[in-house]
Amino acid sequence: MQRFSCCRWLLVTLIATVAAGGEPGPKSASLPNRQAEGDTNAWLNVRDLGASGSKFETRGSTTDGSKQITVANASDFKVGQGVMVSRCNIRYVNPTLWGPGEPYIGASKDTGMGIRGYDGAAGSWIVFLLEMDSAEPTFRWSEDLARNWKGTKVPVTYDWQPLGGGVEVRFSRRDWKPGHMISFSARDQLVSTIEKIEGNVLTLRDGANRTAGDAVVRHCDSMALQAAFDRAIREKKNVFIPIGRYRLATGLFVRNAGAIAIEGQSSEDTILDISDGQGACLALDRGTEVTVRNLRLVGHTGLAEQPGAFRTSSGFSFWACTLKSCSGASINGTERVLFENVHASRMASECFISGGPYRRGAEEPKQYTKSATYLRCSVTDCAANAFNNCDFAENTSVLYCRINGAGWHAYEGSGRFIRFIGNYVRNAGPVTIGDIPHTLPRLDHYHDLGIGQAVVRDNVFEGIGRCGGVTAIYGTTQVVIANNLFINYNGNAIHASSATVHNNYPSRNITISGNIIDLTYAGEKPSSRIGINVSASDTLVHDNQIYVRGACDAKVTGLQFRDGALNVNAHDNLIRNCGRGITTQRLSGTITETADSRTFRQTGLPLEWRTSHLYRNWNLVWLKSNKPVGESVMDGYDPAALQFKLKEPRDMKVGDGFEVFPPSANWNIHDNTITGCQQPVTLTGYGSDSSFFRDNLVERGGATNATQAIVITGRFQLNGNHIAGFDEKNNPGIKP
Amino acid sequence: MKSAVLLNIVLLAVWPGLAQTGAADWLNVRDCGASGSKFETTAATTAGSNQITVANAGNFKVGQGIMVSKCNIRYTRLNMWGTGERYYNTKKPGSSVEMRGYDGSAGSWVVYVLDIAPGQRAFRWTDDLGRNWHPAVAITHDWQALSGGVEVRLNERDWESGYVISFGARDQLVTTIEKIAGNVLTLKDAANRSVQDAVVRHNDGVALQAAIDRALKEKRNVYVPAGHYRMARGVSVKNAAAITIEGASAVDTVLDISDGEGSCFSLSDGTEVTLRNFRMTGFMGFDEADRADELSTKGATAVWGLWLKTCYAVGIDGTERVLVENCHASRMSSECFVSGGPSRGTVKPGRHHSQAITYLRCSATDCARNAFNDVNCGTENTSVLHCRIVNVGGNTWEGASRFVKFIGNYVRNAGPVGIGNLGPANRDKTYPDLGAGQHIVADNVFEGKVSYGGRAGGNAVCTSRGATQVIVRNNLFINFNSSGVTASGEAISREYPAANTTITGNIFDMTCVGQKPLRRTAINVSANDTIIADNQIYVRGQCDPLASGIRLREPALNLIVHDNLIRNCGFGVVTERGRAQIGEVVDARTFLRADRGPMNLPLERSSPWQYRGWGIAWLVENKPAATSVIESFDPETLQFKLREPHEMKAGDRFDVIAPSLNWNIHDNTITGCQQPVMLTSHGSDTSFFRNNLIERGGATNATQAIVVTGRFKLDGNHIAGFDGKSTDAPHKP
Repeated sequence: MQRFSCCRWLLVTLIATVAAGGEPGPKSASLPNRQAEGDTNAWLNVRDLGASGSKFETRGSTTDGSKQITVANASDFKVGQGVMVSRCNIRYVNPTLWGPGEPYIGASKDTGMGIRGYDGAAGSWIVFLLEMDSAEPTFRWSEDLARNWKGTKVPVTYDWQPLGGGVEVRFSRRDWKPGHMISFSARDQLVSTIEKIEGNVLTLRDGANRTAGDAVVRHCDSMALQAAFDRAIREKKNVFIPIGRYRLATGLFVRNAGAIAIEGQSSEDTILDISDGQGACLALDRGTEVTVRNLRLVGHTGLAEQPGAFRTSSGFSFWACTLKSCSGASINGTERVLFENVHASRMASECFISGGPYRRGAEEPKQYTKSATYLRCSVTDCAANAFNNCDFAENTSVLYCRINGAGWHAYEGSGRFIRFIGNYVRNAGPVTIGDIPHTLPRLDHYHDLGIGQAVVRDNVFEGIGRCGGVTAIYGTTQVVIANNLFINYNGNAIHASSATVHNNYPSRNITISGNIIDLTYAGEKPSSRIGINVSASDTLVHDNQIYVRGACDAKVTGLQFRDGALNVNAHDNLIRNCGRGITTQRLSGTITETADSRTFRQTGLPLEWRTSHLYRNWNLVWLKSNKPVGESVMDGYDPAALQFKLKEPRDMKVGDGFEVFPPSANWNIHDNTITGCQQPVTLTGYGSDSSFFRDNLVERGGATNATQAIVITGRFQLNGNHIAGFDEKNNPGIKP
Repeated sequence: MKSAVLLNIVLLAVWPGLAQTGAADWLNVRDCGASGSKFETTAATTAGSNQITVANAGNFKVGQGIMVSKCNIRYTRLNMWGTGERYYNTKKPGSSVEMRGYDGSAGSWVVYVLDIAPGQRAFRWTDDLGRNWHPAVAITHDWQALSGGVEVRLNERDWESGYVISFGARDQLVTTIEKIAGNVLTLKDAANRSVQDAVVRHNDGVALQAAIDRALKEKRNVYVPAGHYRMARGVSVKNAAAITIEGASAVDTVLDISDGEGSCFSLSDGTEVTLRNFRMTGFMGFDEADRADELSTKGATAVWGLWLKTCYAVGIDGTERVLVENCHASRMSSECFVSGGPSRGTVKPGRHHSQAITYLRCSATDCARNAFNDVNCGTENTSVLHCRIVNVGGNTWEGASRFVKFIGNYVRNAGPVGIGNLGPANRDKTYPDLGAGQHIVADNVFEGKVSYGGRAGGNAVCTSRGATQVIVRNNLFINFNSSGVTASGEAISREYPAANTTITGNIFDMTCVGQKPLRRTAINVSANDTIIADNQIYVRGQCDPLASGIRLREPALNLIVHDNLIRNCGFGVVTERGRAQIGEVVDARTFLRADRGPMNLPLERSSPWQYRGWGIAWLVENKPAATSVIESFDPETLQFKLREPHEMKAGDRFDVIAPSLNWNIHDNTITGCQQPVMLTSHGSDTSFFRNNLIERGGATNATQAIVVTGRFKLDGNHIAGFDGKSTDAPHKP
């Protein structure tokens, strides 16, 4: 800091120098003028605060119990710096007990498990996951993040039992149930600080617990950077990170910043490297404003090493990436955030994620994320989500970013007032709007304020690798999906879904307009794919183009609508060369629980909002072997108890299947053009008295094997449609 | 950032040793010898001597670059073109052309163009890029005088085949100061002409280049203080790995290439370059747009003035991630901001193609040629955001590239936003699979009129020649005295037609204010697969007979036109016949379409079956005289075969009649128009005009709401305010 504190003096010198230089013309004086406006001490350079920014590494020998290590080359190290030393510090970290039910609720550190014996042979960081796979109890286990299970149905002996890499475990006695899981990491890395350097001998603050001749000694800049961040926040300064590779053993916190800028010198060569560590490179924790610019963030898990996900033996989903996580950045309640020109790759967990307090109707927390902007950032080769609002953060904008390789969602979020605009996406899962964290109950504030309001616009989705498209699902309302381009897309492009899982709500109020969806795909593994798929109520679908270039592709469906969606207005879409142009589907459910002869719970039907139709007077058709065997009428649905009630009693049992349809669906499908499709229009849903299909133009185009323009079995009012190129006798009941 | 920048510059300036610490990440170009000075003086030069005597040695320093006028006669850029296909017609001059004698009297840089029409052994010539042509003189194979003392000698060659020759005559010495002794500067290079009144100026191009090279090597950024930096050549930024080059002021940090040639910044390869806060100025303003335009030469086609005398602001060749922010270009003769280079299909291993270029809050004003251009299909994800383009003589934007966003810009008195232009030279083998020209043009404001090549009028936004997936939405056109949005299906046989266009939510105010009113159309479509929805098109006050609302040209397939509001236009909705002509007759049943004239018989290679059963109405004196039916189209040979023989010859014109066009024109409101609806094209079984509202409004001399002569199905239209007898039963075929 000495250097910086003398700046004012230097400034004066510079002015003097310029003046003496007799510079005749331009306003070189503007330099000092601008300088004078600001605080010359506004920036802290992390190098001045002990960060090495060095990727230097060397070999070392360690002795069990000793703090001294002998290195091959000590030249790059300095006293006070952090180091990471591999192979010399066997430890077991993050022991966690999950389940047996929903694993993400009530996980505990109290595993009661004894662990010993890791020999470091399997690498610096191995995650073991054990899951009870029967009530015996027996367990299965994995040492590769559930990509593979090693043993299965291994009896629990309550004595030491071997796993891999020398590790042995001993279960405690407790009431083990299928779905109980224990996870822990076996590590061999010593993270410590250099206290003394004498020749080639480094004395560390902490001792090794293993004697190794081949330890790798690297810098660890976590501590120095953390100290710089803390100091900058305290002194209200900004942080400058010069070019370099800054290795992190743990992520860095930006706590309670007033307004801080953290800026790398180069988005190419200023690298925060968490590939040997765990956490978020930058963990923003409350505070008012944080700006992060020009950084590269590198983690340890690329798309090819994506951890497994599986269903527990008690039937819940679990994503193993949680167990060895690293992120680019996380935000917990920071009010204003800007990430600009920050580029993340190889993150195991969500690359950019927010999770923090949020507004609950009129109840407003003191501080929460109100505006997070990601501008011209990129996510490449990452195992999990690119962007994620794992909360109800408000006004998150993902603008002009580039996603190339994200194992899960390109964006996932139940945030409010989201803008996902102008981005380029390839090889990524869906942009998922909604997705209320499924561990949350049915909260009142969803009703008061809605969630997942989003504008998804002007993006380009190219069909290389994963083709997730855009999905509005699980509780979102007010979503505009407009003017996006899909190119050579080998996946579903846009989905407005009413589906509900766990306790969340169906999505609704969605406008899908002006998208141009090219579903041409000539590569390997063509998917069955749908241009626009709608099962959500209150949805407008208009002025979209959905097509395949060249010949019709049988695997492609243009527009699909499902019974149960109310108030659907689909007009002026241009659908060309699809196997199926416009199709409708039925809405079905299965009974999971009966309370009495009129009352049941089920899976399949959306668990509607309390302000909805509540299924009153909906028709229900009972099925057996997919054939109708009876009809009922719904009396209603109790959104608190999640129970459905029939008007008349019926002999029901768990597992009974049924289909439902509303008395009045309010569908207005009009003025669409469907050409070149094998099955242009299939109206085989139930329909209703207010399901209209009118003024559409159905033309044969190049689909020479198409025989029938419109197939109808449901109740649809057809009027004013124009059918061209089809044999009239195959189109009964159609008035051209 | 600014504080850090300045802080480090201060440190660097006084204590260069700090560079080693990594703290001084900014390199100040002044410390690398750049003068940033406008200072100039006069000098006497002697032919053969590298010493010049200046009136005032001013602020010159040893090692600095300078430009000295009048003392170094030289000829640059001898180019030759012949007849043959456009852009494939360059020729090697070899020793067939010689020149001598320039006396500097016509200026520091004169471009001569000689035009030899085919079949003649004579040339006409110009020294002002085609504004004035001197009458043709016979080729003598001896020295022949032009202007400014210049003489040319055209040696033996097949001149009668037709040629265009161009070269520059210059008098400027670009060199470096090696010694200063009093008023005598010793230069690295000698003059070749003795003059008393040479003008001596700084040339900072050399020092800027040195600064950038050093910064790249040392991984630092470059800071350019306020100043006027004259450049004889542009600087190149090769293989960057995240460099920022930043001016102190977008007003007072000026890169001046007005005495020079090339691109102020040329980026090539590498990852991430940020350019911020510059003014860049060249030598050719809007009033010379005609000179930068294509010259009307007889001996060759496609000779552009902008090639002969070039300056650019920023050129990008294969750099990934570029941000150009708050940079302002003017008086450029070529594109202000241009990108090209390889594409993802042609990029060599280890190299890049241009990706993710963002122009943010930049401007191009008073320029002779294009503001922005992605020359070929290789560049991806260019975003032009919130820029300002005013008085630009070429295209506002020209883009053969992929995934472009042109959003939030302001455009006045400039050429079109041109989308596509995917000629054979602009695309590569990835084109058929990936397409190109995908654009989102949104939220822009277009004011006044279009001006291109010095001519008023034309289209503000034009998608054509191979562009696919183009969205033009929510743009405002204000007092617009030119055409608005065109989606063109016309293309020569080596190109592809444009398709898949969506034009929605635009507001076209076509009122002509304070200008000579031009014939103009708000939306003009001849391309397949187009949606035109929810646009407003109107003239304030009185109906303007020269303004048209929507024109649709056959045989565009699959058009949806709905819920547009058209008010006070001479023509509301007009449908037009598709025309083409025979290029070559193969046999009595087989022909090739001509690559000239109207080309409304598109050559759809990917769906050749669609042409089966299409009709052709042969035109005699512009009237259909006889008809034929197309049997097939061969996507390889591009030959059309008729069912029955027909006597044809090259140049025969015909209307194209598609039996099923899939046009759905519905729910539009047309009011106050003189000729509200003209359905006067051929129409088809699937050409619908339904549920539209046609009201007389203020158009008191309108007599007929709908004129129909083609096969259109009318249904449910509402006509109000017209005389019963002419509108009750609109003419039906």
